[in-house]
Amino acid sequence: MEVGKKQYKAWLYLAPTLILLIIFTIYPLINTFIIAFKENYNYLNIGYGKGPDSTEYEFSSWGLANFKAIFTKGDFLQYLKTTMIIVFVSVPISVVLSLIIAIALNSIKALQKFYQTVFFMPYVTNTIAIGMVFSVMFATHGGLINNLIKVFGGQPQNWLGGDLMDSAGNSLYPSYWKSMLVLLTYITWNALPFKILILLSGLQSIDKQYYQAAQIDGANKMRIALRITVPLLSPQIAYLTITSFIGAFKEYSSVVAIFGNQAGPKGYRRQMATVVWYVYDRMKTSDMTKGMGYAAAAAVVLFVIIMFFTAINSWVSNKRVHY
Amino acid sequence: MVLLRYFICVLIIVLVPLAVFRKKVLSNREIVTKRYGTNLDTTNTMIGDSVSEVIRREKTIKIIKYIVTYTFLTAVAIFIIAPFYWMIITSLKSTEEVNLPDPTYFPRKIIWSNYRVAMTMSGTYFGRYMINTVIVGVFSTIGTLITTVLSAFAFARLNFKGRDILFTV
Repeated sequence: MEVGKKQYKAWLYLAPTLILLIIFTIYPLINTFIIAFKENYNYLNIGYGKGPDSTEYEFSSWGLANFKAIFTKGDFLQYLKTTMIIVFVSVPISVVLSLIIAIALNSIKALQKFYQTVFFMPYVTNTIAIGMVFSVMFATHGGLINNLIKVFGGQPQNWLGGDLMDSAGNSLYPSYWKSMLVLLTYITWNALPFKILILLSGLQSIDKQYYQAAQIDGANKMRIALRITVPLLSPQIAYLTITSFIGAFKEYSSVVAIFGNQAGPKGYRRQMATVVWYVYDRMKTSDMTKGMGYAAAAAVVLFVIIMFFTAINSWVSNKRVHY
Repeated sequence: MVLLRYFICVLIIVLVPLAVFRKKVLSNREIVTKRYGTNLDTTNTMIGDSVSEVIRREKTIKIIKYIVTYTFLTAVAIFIIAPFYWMIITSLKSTEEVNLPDPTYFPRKIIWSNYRVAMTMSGTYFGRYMINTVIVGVFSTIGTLITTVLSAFAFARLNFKGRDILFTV
């Protein structure tokens, strides 16, 4: 009786979370997987089968046509490549940089609070607004970065395109890597504060005894950092790596903020598009049979990739993390 | 305005090192006295000399370390502040100044009316946007608090079938 009563109470307490979770997470997740395998999916129709007009039904048959289509038609692989570059460049750079910053911050006394406040500022701002500021700063004419390059004697670079024309009136497009550099700078800028915060709190909880012992043994600074600080911080580093890997795979708003909703310079659409941008773009397309189905297939592909890398991450951290 | 700009620059250049090295600069002899209780130099032995030598070297290394650390942190801080600074000064510039081929690093003439225009421009319902933001903020916070507090209580205090499986989800 006692146990039964408690069970009933527990489920009551969990009900709000569970209902929200089922409606807004589990159902859409399962439905995405189902839609991905429906060929010629059109949510405006009902019924199933191969009619004389294939758009008449909700979907024509079950199969892998959506997956085949996104890999063979269109630029999905290009978007996947962009996403991979973002993940494998921005995550290591931001983790290492924030680790160095956290160690430097932890070693000073004067002005520590001031620097902490400054480094935390990007966290409380809006991705879209600051992304637009970055696109203004990297503008070819009248941008801060090009002006600095000019002051130091370099050639102004075409970072983001915009309305540039050559003498013949053709639009000038920026190279992929220049745009990528701007994007990576922005993503790193945006990712730093949270990582610094986590690593700094981790550093401050490390026992001073370890450092005193190392000092007595005559270990140099580099050795102390690699042999004491990094292993003792490994839980935080592992957590940050896993979450930022997932976050970087889902990068979307920063691309839209810098390059606009066409994910590229004017007239040169989709140059910097990521996988999530592709999903969003497919959802809005007017061609129904190439819309939802493709988007769902791309989402499933992304989901599988993220699961794969998260599994690798957890496997590595299970072996290496020192708790 | 030019005066204000240089004033800010000078303030930063002077204040940062002052804050860093605000500790009273002690002579080597005083440090030895402070550390070891007695002034070893007064005995005029070799030990006193070598100790103060070592301490001086340590102090130099420490100062160099501080300079490197603060330079690095300041560089990162500038990198982080730059977009905010650019956003704020651009919000105070006139349209002509924003579109200059060579950007100015401080508005020639501060135009506060940009803010008034942005808030009251026809077609811009700034009050409505503000209310929307506040509504979203308040209610999503309340909703998150209610659901998470309730389920945290259930997981922490109550035992029920399938608790561990559900927690991993």
